[in-house]
Amino acid sequence: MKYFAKATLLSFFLICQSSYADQWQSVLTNNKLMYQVTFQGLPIEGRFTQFSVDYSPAEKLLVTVNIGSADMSDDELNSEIAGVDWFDTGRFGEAVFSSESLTATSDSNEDFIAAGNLNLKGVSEPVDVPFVWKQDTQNPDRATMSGQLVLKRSDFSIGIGDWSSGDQIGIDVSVSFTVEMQRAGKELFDGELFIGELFIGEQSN
Amino acid sequence: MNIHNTEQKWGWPSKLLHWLTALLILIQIPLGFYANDLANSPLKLELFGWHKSFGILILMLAIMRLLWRMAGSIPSLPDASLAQRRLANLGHSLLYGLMLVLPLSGWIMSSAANRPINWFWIMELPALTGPDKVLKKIAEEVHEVSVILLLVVLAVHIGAALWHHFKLRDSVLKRMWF
Repeated sequence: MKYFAKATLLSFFLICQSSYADQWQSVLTNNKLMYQVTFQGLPIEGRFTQFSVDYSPAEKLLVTVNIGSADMSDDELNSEIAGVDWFDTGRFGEAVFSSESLTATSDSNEDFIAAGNLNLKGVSEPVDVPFVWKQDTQNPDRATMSGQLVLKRSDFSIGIGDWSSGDQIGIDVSVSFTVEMQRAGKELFDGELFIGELFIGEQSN
Repeated sequence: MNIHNTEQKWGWPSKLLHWLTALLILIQIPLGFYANDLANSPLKLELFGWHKSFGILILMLAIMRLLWRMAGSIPSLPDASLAQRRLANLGHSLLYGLMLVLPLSGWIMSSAANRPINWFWIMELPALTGPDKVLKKIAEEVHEVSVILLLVVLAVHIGAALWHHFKLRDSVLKRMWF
């Protein structure tokens, strides 16, 4: 009975902890943050290889992007976009989106809009980030977040001087993302659950 | 004017294609050198857009001309020695080869550098390859060496035509005109 009480107490503690710490973080693999722009009227794609997403449901979405990790699959293009006319990565190495509010847009509790501010190239602009949250059916500590939005590069002074006309490189930039998310502190949770099971095991013997 | 080439005369399709190609190459070479020297700008991209469009047009014309030659015949050189005929043949083979190699290497360069080609802003050309640093470098080298070779062969081609016209006073240049 002593063991049973311990196990119950521990379980209770675990339940409290897991609901309290409903924090999610992007895992390092399998993540995509792409952007598409028109090059002489045709789509051309780039991606950010380094970024992180922190999310706590109904509270906050925080996205941090290493702008210097932008990759357009060509050395010349990559050095061009890092220059002062474009991203100016020497001065603005990081972009941050931070939500002010999160709104569910469907009953399924899978579609949301995170309204907040995007700070990019030293400019802070209000941006709505719509996303779909898909809980992994196998693993409750895993989920996939995906979405798409269109930004105007002119809002963030990206592509200045002659490029600002949008003549050869379009003004609209389509951003899309697919991010594998993992519940934060999952390792701790698993470890304690294991101890909890051990106690229950001893009790039943 | 006849359509088909004969032993003495060029048909109008061959003449038309020859002079159209000549005009395009005359624009194409300085355009390429000029755009290449520009600092990166929308103008540079636009000029390269035209350069790529003209290049692919030259490629298409070259293929049409080769097919037309193979389907029919071409006039022979008047009063020429065997050596002259062979040299003329070599020169023309080089010209055709370069009219294929230059546009193709340019197209590969563009595809390997992840840039799409909007042909005369009408049609997207398929990428010949995915992004590829090594292939881009090779295609660039081929493109650069080929244009120098083309300038040399063109100088010989034009020089030979003028030599036929003014020194030998034969019909070689005249019969290519309309």
